Amino acid sequence: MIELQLISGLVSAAILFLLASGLSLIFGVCHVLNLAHGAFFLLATFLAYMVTSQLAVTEFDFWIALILVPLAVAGVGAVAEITLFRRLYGANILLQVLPTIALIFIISDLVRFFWGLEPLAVPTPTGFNFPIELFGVFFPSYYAVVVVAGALVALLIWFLVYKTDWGLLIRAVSQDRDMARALGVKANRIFTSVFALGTGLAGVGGVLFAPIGGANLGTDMDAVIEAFAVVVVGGLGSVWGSAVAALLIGMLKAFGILIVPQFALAFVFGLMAIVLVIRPTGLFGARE
Amino acid sequence: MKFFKSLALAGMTASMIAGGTASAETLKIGLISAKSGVFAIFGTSGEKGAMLAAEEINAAGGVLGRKIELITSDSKSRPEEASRLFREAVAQGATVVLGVIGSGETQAVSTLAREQKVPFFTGLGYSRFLTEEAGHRYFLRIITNSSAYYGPMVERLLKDGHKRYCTINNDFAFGRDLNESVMADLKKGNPQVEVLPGCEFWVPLGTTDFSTYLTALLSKKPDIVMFGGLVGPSGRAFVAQANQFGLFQRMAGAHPALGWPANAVGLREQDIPKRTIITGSDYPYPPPKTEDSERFFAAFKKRWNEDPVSEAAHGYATIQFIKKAFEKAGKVDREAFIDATAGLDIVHPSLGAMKMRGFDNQSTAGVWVGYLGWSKQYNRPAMEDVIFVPGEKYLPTEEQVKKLRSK
Repeated sequence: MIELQLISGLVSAAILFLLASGLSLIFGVCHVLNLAHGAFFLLATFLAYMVTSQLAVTEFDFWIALILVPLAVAGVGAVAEITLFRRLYGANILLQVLPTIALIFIISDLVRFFWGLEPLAVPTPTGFNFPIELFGVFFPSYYAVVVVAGALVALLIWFLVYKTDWGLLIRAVSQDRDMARALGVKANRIFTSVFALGTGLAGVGGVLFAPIGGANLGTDMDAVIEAFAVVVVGGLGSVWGSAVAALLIGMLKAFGILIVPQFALAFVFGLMAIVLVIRPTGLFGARE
Repeated sequence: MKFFKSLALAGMTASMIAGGTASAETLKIGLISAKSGVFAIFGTSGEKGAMLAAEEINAAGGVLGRKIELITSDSKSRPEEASRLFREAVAQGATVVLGVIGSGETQAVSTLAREQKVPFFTGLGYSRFLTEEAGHRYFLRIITNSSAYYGPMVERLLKDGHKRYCTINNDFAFGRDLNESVMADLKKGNPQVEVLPGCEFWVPLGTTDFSTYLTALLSKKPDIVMFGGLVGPSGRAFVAQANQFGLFQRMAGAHPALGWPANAVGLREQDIPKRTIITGSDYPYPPPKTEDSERFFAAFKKRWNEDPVSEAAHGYATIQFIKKAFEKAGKVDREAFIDATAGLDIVHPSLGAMKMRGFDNQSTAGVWVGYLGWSKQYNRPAMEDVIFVPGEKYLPTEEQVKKLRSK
């Protein structure tokens, strides 16, 4: 049943895109590799649990979480940029990596402290907790929400980056930071806002993922590894690259699992290796 | 990255004396637990069970006039870390070591225990091969051997008559070992049993998104899916998502250890299909209604203000067993201790009376088998229609152990 596998591949792709686009955006503009990106995703899954369990009385608990949590995560991201990452721009890559690893531990220990060790289940939003029949089998309707949300976020990013003044400034800063500054662009403010947007996207991904996978410690590392694979294939800094690579990897996983399950995961990293050999900057990465 | 991680976490071993001040000489027991990483729930609970036992023993006068001193540490669910901590515990004077750590970690530490001739118990390594192919004089196990864990489930599945199987498991030592053993025994019991082509799935530890696997499973249309090697967050996520896909309306399920409270944690009442998933547990909910079980439950709840899970009971029973063995040996000596363990019996809180088999250092612990269900009283996943199956019958004989170890 190829259709069914296609849909589950799209679901994987949507989550991967939400993760990778933020990581890529931050790298493209700020030139730091935020290894703690998965930690923001982890934080979002637990915040989604908190909001939905506090608001269990209303039917809109999930949708409220989908708005509040990414904003909160973006806030944490902005604070992290101002206090930590801002000091790392221009430093060499190793110096950048160490503090981001520290941030992974800080966030995951805070999550442990507040929510404990046990995996937590996040309810499927009211109205989407029934299966729809598709090609003779049942498919959870919530997965459609994830796919649509992924597509909407892609549109939103496109709009922000290419159709707004802020997007123009972002593109200017990412192309030539010093020139932009010389022309009066407040680069620091741009960096903070890009960081907030990037981590906020991880937040959206986390909330959307929570009803599927729940909130579990450990998802931070899995998430950042997968996001990293997507970003490498798509090209560091390219949001479109992330979208294409997320689709490619999502489908590769889905059909790999259907056809040769024992190698399905190797395919993803195989693809990464091939892309790195043929096009070291990724499919859509800027040439050096 | 691993390098930085171990750097940052080096030297985080702590030493504590349970229940009061130390007398002149203490009996030091190393207690390595996986308190973070994939096995965090198991290790944390196991440590609490062991600490409770040590406190009770110390309050009653200790062992051979000495107080128990636990040298506790966190393995981070990583074999290389567990090995390092084992060396450290021994260097600090631990006479025996208990590791509430996974099979991979246990295997690494077991090799070291053999080299250093230090008795080592596992509180979480269930894999059959640990006491069989890889077994030796210095490795001991109170907890159930995976053969005795899945054996009763296999019998039940053969009786139910499923033939066309799909399997999905976490890709690690225990998952591989369990899948191979379960499927081999099913085929031995009924030659018509087959794993459908291309329907053997392996997922990384910690996987929580199963949508692509679930659609693939639905496409292959097996009679039953065996997912016994999905542990930690994976088992829970698989069941919850499978139920959303209506998977268990189309096929049965089998998981020898989903009745493990720590494996099922996070499952909600609506995630659990009614009487569809055959499972087992060494600490079923509701807890067995025996005096020992109820006493342990109450003491653990009072001490830690949480419900115990399997590893808590194992940590507790293992420390009790260690005490009993030292008393039988009459002195604090590693070789005398191991000699004393042979044939020694103990009452485990949830698994009842068991005996240590001298020839492979495996206890005769059994398992509870039944359907995965829900307990309203405890408000957590539970088991229905449970029966207790003693382990002895499923364990290899002395000759078989000799043969396996000589390979």
